Parts: sequence; structure tokens; C-alpha cells
Amino acid sequence: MQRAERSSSQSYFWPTVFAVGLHVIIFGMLFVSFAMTPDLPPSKPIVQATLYQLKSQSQATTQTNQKLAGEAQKTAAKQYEAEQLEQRKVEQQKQAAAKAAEQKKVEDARKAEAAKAEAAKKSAEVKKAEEAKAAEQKKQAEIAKKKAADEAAKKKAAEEAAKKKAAEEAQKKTAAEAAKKQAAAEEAKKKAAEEARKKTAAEAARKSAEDKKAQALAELLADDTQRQQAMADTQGDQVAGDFDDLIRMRAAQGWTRPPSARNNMSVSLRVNMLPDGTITAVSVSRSSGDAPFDSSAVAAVKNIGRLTEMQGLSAQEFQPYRSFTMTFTPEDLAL
Amino acid sequence: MINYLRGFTVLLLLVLGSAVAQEKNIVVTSGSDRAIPIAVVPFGWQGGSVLPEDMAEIIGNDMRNSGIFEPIPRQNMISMPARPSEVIFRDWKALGAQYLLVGDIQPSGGRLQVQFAVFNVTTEQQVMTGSVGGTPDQLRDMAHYISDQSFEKLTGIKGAFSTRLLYVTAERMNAANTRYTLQRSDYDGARAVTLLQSREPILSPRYSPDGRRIAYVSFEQKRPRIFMQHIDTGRREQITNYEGLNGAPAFSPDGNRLAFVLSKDGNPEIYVMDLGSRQLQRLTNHYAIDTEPFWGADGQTIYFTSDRAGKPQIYKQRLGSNNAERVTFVGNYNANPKLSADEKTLVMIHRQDGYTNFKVAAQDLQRGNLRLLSDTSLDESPTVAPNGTMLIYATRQQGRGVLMLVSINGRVRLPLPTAQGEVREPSWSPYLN
Repeated sequence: MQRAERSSSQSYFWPTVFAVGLHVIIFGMLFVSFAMTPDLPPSKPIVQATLYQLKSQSQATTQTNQKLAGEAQKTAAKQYEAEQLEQRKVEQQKQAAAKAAEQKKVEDARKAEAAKAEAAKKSAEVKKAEEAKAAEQKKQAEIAKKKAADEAAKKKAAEEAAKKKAAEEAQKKTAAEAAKKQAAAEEAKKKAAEEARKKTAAEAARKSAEDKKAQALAELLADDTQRQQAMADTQGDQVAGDFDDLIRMRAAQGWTRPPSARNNMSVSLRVNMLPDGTITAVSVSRSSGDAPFDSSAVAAVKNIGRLTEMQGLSAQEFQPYRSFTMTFTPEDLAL
Repeated sequence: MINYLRGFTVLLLLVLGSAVAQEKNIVVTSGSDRAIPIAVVPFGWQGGSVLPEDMAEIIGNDMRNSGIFEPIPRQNMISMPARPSEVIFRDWKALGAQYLLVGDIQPSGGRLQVQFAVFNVTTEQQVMTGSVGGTPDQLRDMAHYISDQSFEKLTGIKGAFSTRLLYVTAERMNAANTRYTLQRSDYDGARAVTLLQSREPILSPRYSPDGRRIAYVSFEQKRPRIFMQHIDTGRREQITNYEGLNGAPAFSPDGNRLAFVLSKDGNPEIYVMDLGSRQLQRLTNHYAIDTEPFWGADGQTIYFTSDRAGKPQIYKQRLGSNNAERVTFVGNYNANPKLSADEKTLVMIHRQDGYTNFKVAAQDLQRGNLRLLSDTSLDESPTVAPNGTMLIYATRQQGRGVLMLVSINGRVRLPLPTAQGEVREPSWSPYLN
């Protein structure tokens, strides 16, 4: 009897755990997907786009500055080289961005045509869905051949199909199918790119900008490449890395070390911040053991004052900055 | 299978949990090489007569001398508030000031009362406020007091601006007559007072840890002998009268013992005397020269200069031990060791390999790396402020012996204003307040 009870409870226990776990994961996924695609109000997409672009530029230069400052300690020559390199990089980036924009324009035109084709195909399909199926079965061999044929030919066929609405049903269908596939492929590409970027605002802006003019799109894309570059540099996570750097840079600028400071000494501070960027409280959470060193770090954080840049963050993005840790450990001291 | 799934679930929950609990940590590894800009506004003064000293200027100089702050030039100031209520932060942000110090002097029955306040310009908050009173001839003391208070509040380092300096001057009257004086002044060279005057050389003045006694070497008996003198009363006593060289006195951290150099046994060796019992204990025993003892903070270790390896280098040895441990290895000449109070930095006279110039250098005792602090040559007798932010040494400028003040971080280098004649042998007092 006891055994039976135990076994029954056991048999219910783990399924329950899995069920709960699954729910938790699904629930969590909901949040993840939310974080990836927050819908910005479509009324002011351009403003948002420019705002973020400015921000990303400033962050990129911020990073450059920080790096250069670090290098400067080592060699002045290196710094000069780095500057030159950076300039070249920026120029290359700009060129690349321009190219990308042009490419995107072309692609967009193509996409629009494809979309037209798709629309046409859809209307045709609704009318002649049954016939289409039958025809598809009949002309499978033909389709296979067409599949084997290269994309350009298919595109041409699709364009032709789009232009010649009155053309043969079979032809129409194959062309439509090709267009559909191309569209699907492009969709997949787009998704992959989006995943790589993981930049919520940029993506939202892009979405709203998609039906805007090609120029706006080019601007956005230029922004995006720069952001990608910046993010590759940080290897940090998404938005956070950029604002981490901003805080790091501001703190370093105001950090004057006492004579007792030595390389690799370390003090951790707890920092509280308001969404308007005001630092409300700084306290030592793990002392270095050297009071002047500790207070130099506290003063450096207090002297940041208010980081107005933080005001551009959404409530969710700002969440990690409400209370966070800063560790000060010098690596650039002479003694 | 169940175990496997259970493990998986635990892992999953752990990952989820850590993702939630993981906190942002921003690591800062570099700092500013710039001194912190501070605005010291000329103090308000309601009295009729002109005050003999400019307190704000003295405070500004104190801040600058530390090497940690950079006072903002007075002519750039947009407004000149004397009271906290008159401060307009916008004016100071425009100047790039990080901190702002204002003060107001009020006469009160022959005495002066000074109210002062320090602000953080970025956060627009008052950092501290205070008051100090005194007679009109204590204006310098009051200024140094305000510097000490503000400096400690802003940096966490106790201010050493109320400390005093000892130094020796030599004034050549004629070919056969040179006048030597032992002087005591503010740390910045102001308000010098003569403690001793002699026609024979005076060397190596040193403070006791409480700052009330000094020891020095005087040739007044035509031979070097060590004397101790009470600053307040002027009472002095002779400590040594041994054959040969008697030199380089140094008080132990507890003030009860005196280390010095005697050559009574043939060559200079370091001895320690108990000042109560006058018992003598020999520390070193080597055929090379051992000199310039300096006490470690534990009262058991003595740093000294020795040429036992051929060239002068710095060694340390524990009392009651025979093992001298070499401390310096860089350069072909290292002498006159002085430690910072935190015992992290050793300051000395240093000559680089292949050079003939003697310079002041600081060595990190934990890592061993060495940094030159002076840009002059023929430097001697470095002495470190009790808080380790500044040092003063003697050098020659235009053929004349002068004292130079250097911040330990190397940002500030300036000559101290001192009397005529040769100035040498500076010695920094401990904290006196």
C-alpha cells in the first residue's frame, strides 16, 4: 500500500516539475522575445532613429578615446598609429556603409518588385487555388528543372510573370513560386541579420522605416554598421556595453589616485542611479584596505554627477543600472 | 533517466537563477593624470584694515603643493562668493572647477573668526563646512588648518600643511667667518625662526616623533657631536662624545631611542642608544661604511646606507640581527633612505648607471620599481611629509643651495622661499596637531 502511494506520488512529482519548468521557460521566452522586439510608437520613428544614431556614434568615439587613453600610457607612437588606423577604419566604414546602402537600395527595389509579384500571385492563387494544385502536380518535372536553374533566371521569370498577368497559369505559378522562395530566403536573411544585431531600437526603427524612403533606410543602415563595429569592439552585451563604457570613461576621467595607490589594488563600490542619470548613492562594498584609495574611487563616481545619456534608455534597459557594482583597480600607475 | 532529468532541471534553474541574480560590475582600470581643479575664492573680510596674509592664496598653494589639486587662477573667477548662499554653481562649472572653497573672515574683539565651506561643483553639494578662530598673526596657521581639514575631507589623506620644517643655513660673512643657523619654518618655508646659531657647521637636524625635541650634529666643539634640544624651552643636552665621527641621529618611532653613527671602533657603524639609560647597542659590524640610519615604523627595523657591495646602496637590518638585507638594486649610488609613513615608498638619493648626477628617486618597496622625482642634479637630503604626498630636498640653483618641494606624484616642483645664504639639510616634522 505504502509502496503504491509512493510510486504514485513519484509518478506525479516529476511530470509536475517538468510541467512547471516548461511553463517557466515558455514564460521566460515570452520576455526574451519582448526584449528583442519592443514596438516603438510608429508616430516618431525618424526621431528615434536619429537619436540612436547619434548615441552610437558618441559611444564609438568614446570607446576609441578610451582605448587611445590606455595606449597612451604605453607609447605615444602607438597612439598615433592607432589614431591613424582608427581614422582609416572610420573612412572604410563610411565607404562600406555607403556601399551597403546602395546595395540595399537595389535590393529594396528588387524586393518591392518581388512583393508586387507576390501580391499578384496571391490574388491569382486565391482564384485558382485548385487548378494551381493540379497544375503543380502535372508540372513537377518542369518545376524541378526551373529550381535547378539559377536565381537570376528565376527572378527574370518572376518579373516577367509579374508583368504578364495574363500569361499562362503554369508559368505564372512557377514564377510566383520562385518569387515566394526568394522572398522567404530574404526573410530568413533578414531574420539572421536581426538576430546578429540584437539591437532593439535599431530594429524597431528599421521596421517603421521600411515603408519610408530608401534614403532613410540608408541612413539607418549606416548607423547599424557602426553599431555593429562598436559592439564587436566591446564584446559586451547589447546596449549595456555602450553605457558601461560611458560610465567607465566618466569615472576614469575624474579618478585621481592618492600616492598610496598601487597597481592591482582593488575597491568595489555599490552605485545607485536614478533613471534620469543621477547617481544617488555610492558606498564601499569591498574595501581595498587603503582608506585614501577607497575615497578616491568614491569621489570619482560622485564626481560623474548626472549621466543625462541614461535618459534615452527604456525602463527595461535601465533596470541593471538602478544598482550596480563598480570595481576600481588601477593598471596604469607609474609606481 | 530521472536522475539525468533532475540534473538537467537543477542546471536549468541554476542558469536561470544566475541570469537573474547576476549584477552589473563595471571595472575601471585607468585614472586621470590631471590634478583636480579646485577654486579657492578670496575670503570675505569686513574689517577696515588690510589683513597681513591672504588666506585663500595660502590654501590654494597648499592644495597645489600636494600634487593632487590644481587651484584655479583668481583672475579667471567669474564671481567671488564668500558665503555658501552666494555660490552660483554655473560660474564654477564654466571654469571646470571640481571643488569650490569659500570663506568669510569676521572680526570679533581683536580676534578673527573664519567660516569656510567646501562644495562639489559637479553634484552641487556642500562637502564640508567649518570655522576656525585666532589672532591676526595666526592667519597662516588658520589657513593651513583649513587646508588640512579640506584636504582630508576631499582625499581621505590627513593634511600635512600645519607641519614644520627644520633646515640649516650657512652664510659666509668673510673668508674666516661663516655663520651657521638651524632654522624652523612652516612646511612651505614661511615664518622661519632661528633655533641655534653657530660659527661651526650644523648637520642632520631631526625631529622626535612628538615633534617637541630635535637632535642634530654640531661642530661647536670643533668635532662632530650629537645634541638634543627641546623646541619649547630651548634646553639642550649633549648626547654623544665619542672618538671620531658622531653623526646622523634618528629618533625611534616611540621616541625613546636614538640611532646614530659612530666611528669609535675604526670605521662608521650604526649604534642605537636608549635615551633613558644611555645604554649603547651596536647594530652593524662591517668593515665597510654604514651610515644614515632611518627607522622602520615597527621600531625594530633600521634602513641605512652601506658601501659593503662596493658602491653605496640601501640595506635594512632588524635590531639584534646580523643580517643586512639589500633593498636597492637599480643604479650605482643609492643613499640617504627615507620611508613614507605607509612604508610603501622609499625615497633616496639616486644615481643612474652611467650618469654623474645625483637625483631624488622614489622606489616602490613592494614591486621594486623606481622613479626619478627631481629634475635637478646634485640633490641631497630628501625628507618626506608625514602623509607621504610631498617631499623636500636640498639642491643647488645658480650656485646657491636651495630647498625644492616636489609632490610624490611628480606633478609639482617648486623652490621654497628661504633666507639668504646656503640652505641645506631639510627635515620634515611629524604631524604636530
